[in-house]
Amino acid sequence: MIELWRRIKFLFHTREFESDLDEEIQFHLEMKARKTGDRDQARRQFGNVGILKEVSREMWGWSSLERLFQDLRYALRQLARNPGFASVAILSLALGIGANTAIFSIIDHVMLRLLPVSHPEEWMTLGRNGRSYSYPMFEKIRDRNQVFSAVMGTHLMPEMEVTIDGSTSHVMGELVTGNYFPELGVGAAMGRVIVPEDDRAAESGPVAVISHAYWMRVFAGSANALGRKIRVRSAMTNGSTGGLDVYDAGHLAFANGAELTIVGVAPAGFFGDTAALVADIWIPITMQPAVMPGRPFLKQPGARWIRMIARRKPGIGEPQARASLLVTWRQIMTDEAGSKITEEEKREIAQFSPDIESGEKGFGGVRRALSQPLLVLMGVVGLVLLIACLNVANLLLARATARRKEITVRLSMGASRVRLIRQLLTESLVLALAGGVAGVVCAPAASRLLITMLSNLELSIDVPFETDWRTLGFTSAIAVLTGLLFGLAPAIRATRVSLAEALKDASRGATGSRRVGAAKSLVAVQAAVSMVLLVGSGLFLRTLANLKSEDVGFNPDGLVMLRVDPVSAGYRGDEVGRSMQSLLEHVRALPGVRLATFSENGLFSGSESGDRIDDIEGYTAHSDEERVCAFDQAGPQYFTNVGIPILLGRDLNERDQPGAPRVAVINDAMAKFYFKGTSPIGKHFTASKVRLEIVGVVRDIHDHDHREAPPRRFYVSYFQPIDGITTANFEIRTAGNPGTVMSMLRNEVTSFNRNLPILSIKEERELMDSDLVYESLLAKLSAVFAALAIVLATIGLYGVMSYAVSRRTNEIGIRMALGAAASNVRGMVLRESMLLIGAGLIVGIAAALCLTRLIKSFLFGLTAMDPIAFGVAAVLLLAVGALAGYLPARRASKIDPMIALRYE
Amino acid sequence: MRTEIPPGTLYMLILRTLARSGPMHGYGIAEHIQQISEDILQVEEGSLYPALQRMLVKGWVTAEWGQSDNNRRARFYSLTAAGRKQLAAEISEFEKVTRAITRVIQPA
Repeated sequence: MIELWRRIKFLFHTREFESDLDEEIQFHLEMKARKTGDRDQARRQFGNVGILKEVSREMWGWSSLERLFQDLRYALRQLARNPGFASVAILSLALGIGANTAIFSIIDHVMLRLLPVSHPEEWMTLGRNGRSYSYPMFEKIRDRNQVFSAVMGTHLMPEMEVTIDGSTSHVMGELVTGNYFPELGVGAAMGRVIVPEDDRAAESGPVAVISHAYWMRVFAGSANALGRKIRVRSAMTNGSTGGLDVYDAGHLAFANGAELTIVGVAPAGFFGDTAALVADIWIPITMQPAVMPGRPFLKQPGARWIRMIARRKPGIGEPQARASLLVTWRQIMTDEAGSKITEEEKREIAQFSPDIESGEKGFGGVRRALSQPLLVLMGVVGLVLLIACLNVANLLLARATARRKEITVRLSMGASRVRLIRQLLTESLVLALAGGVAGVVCAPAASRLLITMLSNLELSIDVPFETDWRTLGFTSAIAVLTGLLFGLAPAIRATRVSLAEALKDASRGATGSRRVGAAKSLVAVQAAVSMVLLVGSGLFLRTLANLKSEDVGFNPDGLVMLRVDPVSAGYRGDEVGRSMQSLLEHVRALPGVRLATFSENGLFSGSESGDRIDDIEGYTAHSDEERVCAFDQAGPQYFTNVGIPILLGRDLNERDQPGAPRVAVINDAMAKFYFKGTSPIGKHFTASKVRLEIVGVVRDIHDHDHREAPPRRFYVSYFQPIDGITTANFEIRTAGNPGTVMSMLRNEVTSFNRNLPILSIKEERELMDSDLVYESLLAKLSAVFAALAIVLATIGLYGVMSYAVSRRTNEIGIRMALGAAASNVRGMVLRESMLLIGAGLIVGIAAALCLTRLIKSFLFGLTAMDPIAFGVAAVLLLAVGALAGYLPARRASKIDPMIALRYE
Repeated sequence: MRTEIPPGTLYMLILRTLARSGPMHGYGIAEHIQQISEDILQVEEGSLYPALQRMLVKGWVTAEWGQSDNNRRARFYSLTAAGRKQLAAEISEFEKVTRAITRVIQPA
C-alpha cells in the first residue's frame, strides 16, 4: 500500500527524477574518469545511458501507462500532420464499422434480447401468430396445468384504429390478460398498469395503458394523458375462425369500437413480449368483444386468436413442462370431444402437438422472419469492413515506406523492435477507434434506414437504436480487431529493416520492392473480396428479377385492392354478402374502373384460409396431409374479373346464392391431385360439413406467395360461405392512373356506409412487392456494397500500379532506349495489372463457390453457382481492373528514356 | 572481463554494503563491492542504478543529496528498517540455496 503511495508520488516528480538521475550519472562518470584518468574509456564502459535511464524509470511501474500515453500523443501528432491520409482512412473505417454496428444493433434486438424479467429462462411461449388458441382453451390451460405458476394470454392487433378527440390513427394494440403486467414485474411509469381486477368479466374493465413512446408522441409526456377517453376498434387480422356461428346479432351498439379510459403509462424501454414489435396501447383481454365489434370471441371455442406466455414453477425444467403440458392439453381436448369421440378425433388428439417454445426471448415471430436475412446482411457488411481494412492497410504500407528513415534511426538507437511495433499498432488503433466513433455516430441513421427497408405491410417492426453498452461494446471490439487486422502486418513489415542498407541514401532498393509485393497481394485480396460481393449481389439481383417477373397466374398491372371489414360495420349472415354485392355495384360504376370483384382473402393481401376436406368422390385420402386444401370465398365472376383462365366448367355467378345448390370451383393442382385423368366437374367433396359440387376448374395462381408452388385450392361463393366471413377484398382493375381511382374509392365507401372500416386501399403491385421485401433489401444493399468494394479495389490497384511504375522508371527507360515501343511498355504494365486482378478473380471465384452455398435458400430460379452471375461479375471485375491499370500503363509508355536513365 | 553478478544477488550485495558502511552514493557502492570481492564482482552501472531505483520504490532505501569526499554534490542512499529486514531475508534464502547446492556437488 505504501509502495503504491510512493509510486503515485513519483508521478508528480518526474522531472526531478530525470534531473536527479542525470546528475548521479554525471557524478559517477566523473569519479570513474578520475580513477582511470581516461574520460572516454569511462564513458564507453558505462554503457548505454539512454537505456539505463529508461530501465531505471521502468522500476517505478508506470512504464506501460507512460508508453501508452507517449504512443497516443505521437500517433495523434502523426495523424494531424497527415490529415489527408487520416481522413480517408477514418472515413473508410467509419463506413465499415458503422454498417456493422447498425446491423448488430438490429440483430441484438431481434435475436438476442431477453424478456425484461428477472429470470427469462423460466418463461415459455405457447402458440404464435398463425397458431393461436381460443379463449376457452386458454382458460382451461390456465386452470388445469400442473407446471406453470402463471399463464398470460395476449393478442396483437397491428392496425388498431384509435380515435382521440375526433382524430383517428392506426397503432399497434395488444389485448392482454389481467396478470400480464404484474407477472412480468412491470410497474407503471405513471398511473397504473392493467391488473387482474380489470379482466374479471367480459367488458368489465374499459381501461387502457399506453406505452412510453406513445405517451411522448401523442401527449407530449403531459400528465393529463391519464383519464383521457379514447375509442379503439380493430378488425381481427391474426387468428382464425372455424365455423359460422362465430358472430352474433347483438353488439350493434359498439359498432364503433370500445370506449376506454387511459389509466397508466408503461415504463420507457418496456418492449413487451415480442422482439421488435412494440405495442402502443394495452387493453384488458376481456374488452375484446367491444374492441372487435361483431366478433365476440371470448366464449367461442372455434375462434383461435390467443397466444400464451407462461412462467414455469420453480424446480420444473423445460422438458418436464413440455411433457406435462402435452398430457394436460390432450386431456382437455378429449374432454371437449365428449363421450361420442370418434376414432379420427382420437387420432387427431394423439397427433396433436402444440407450439411450445422457450420464451426467454419472448415470442419469436419477427425473429423467425428476420433471422436469415439479417445474418446474410451481417456477412455482407463484414466483407465490406474487410475491404475497408485492406484499403487502410495499403495506406499504412505506403506511409511506412515514407517513414523508413525515422524507423531505422530509432532502431539503431536501441529501441526494441517490439516497442516500435507497439507504437505503430497504437497509431492503427487510434485510427480504428476514430473510425469506430465516427461509425457509432452514423450508425443510428443507417439502422433506421435499414428498419424502414425491413418493414413491410405485414410486419411493421420498430427497433430503437440505443447507444447502450452492448452496442458500444460491439463497436469497440470491432474497432480494436480492425485496428489489429490492418495494423499488425504493416507494423511488423515496417520494422523489419536491414539497418545498414536503409541508412544509405539509395532511395529505392529492397524495401520498396517488398512494399510493392505486399501491396500487390493486398490488392489481389481486395479483388477477391470484391468478386465475392459481386457474385452475391448478382445472385440476389437475379433472384429479385426472377421473382418479380414470375407469372403469378393473373395480371397484377392496374389492379387495385380495397379491403373492408363488413363485420365491424354490423352486417350479419346473408347481409354481409348482399351489402358487399351492393358496394361492388357502386364501385363498378366509378369512372376508371374496368372490372371489379371481391373475395374474402384477396390476392397477396396477407390472409389465407385452409381446411381439411372429406369424402372426396373417387379418392381415398391416406393421411390428414392429403386432405388439406386452401380455400377462398369469392364474389360472382371472380375469375373472369381477376383474369384467371377457366380451364373447365364455369365461373362463380350471381345464382350461387343461399338456398341454391352449394358449389365450388377448384384449381388445377387440386384437380390433378384428386381427380387425375378424369373431369372433376360434377364430383363432390365435403368441406366444413358442407357437401359441395365441383362446377369449374381454374388455372393455378400464386395468390399469396411468389415462391411456393400453388397449393390445392378451392373457391366457394361469397354468398354461400362455408366459414364465417371476416373481410371483403375488392379486386379492381383500373384503366389509366390507379391513383385517381384509389382516392375515389375512399369517398365511395364512406358514402356507402360511414361505419364500414376501410382496412386498406393499395395497388396490387405494392402488395406483391411487400412479399419480396427481404429479397429486395438484400439485392439493393449487396449491389451498393459490391459497387463500393469495386471502387475501393480500383483505387487500390491504381495506387499500387502507379507506385510500381514509378519504381521501375529506370528500367523502363532502359527498355525504351533499347528499342521497346510505347505500346510494348503499355502492354507490359497492363499485363501486370491484369495478372493481379486475375489472381484475385480466381481466388474470389473459389471463395464465392464456397460461400454462395450458404444463401441457397434465398435464391429463386437459379442455382448457387449460376454461370450468368459469375460471368458478369468476372467481366465487370476485369473491365474495372483494366481501366485502373490503363492509366499507369499509359504513363509508363510516356516516359522519356533520356530523363528516365538519369533517374535514380 | 566482467564476471556476471549471479542473478538475484545484486540487491543483497547492495543492501549489505549499505548496512556495513552506512550511507553511500552509487559510485561508492559499486567500488565497495568490487574491492571487497577482490575485483571478482564488478557491478554494471546499467544494473546498479535501476536496482537502486527499485529499492527506492520498495522502500528498502532512502536517498538524499549530500556532499561527497571531494565536495561534489552526490546522492547518498541509506538503508531503512524495511531494508534491513529484506537483507536478512535475502541472506537467509541465499545461504539456504548455497548449502543445498554444496550438498549436491560435494564429492562422495
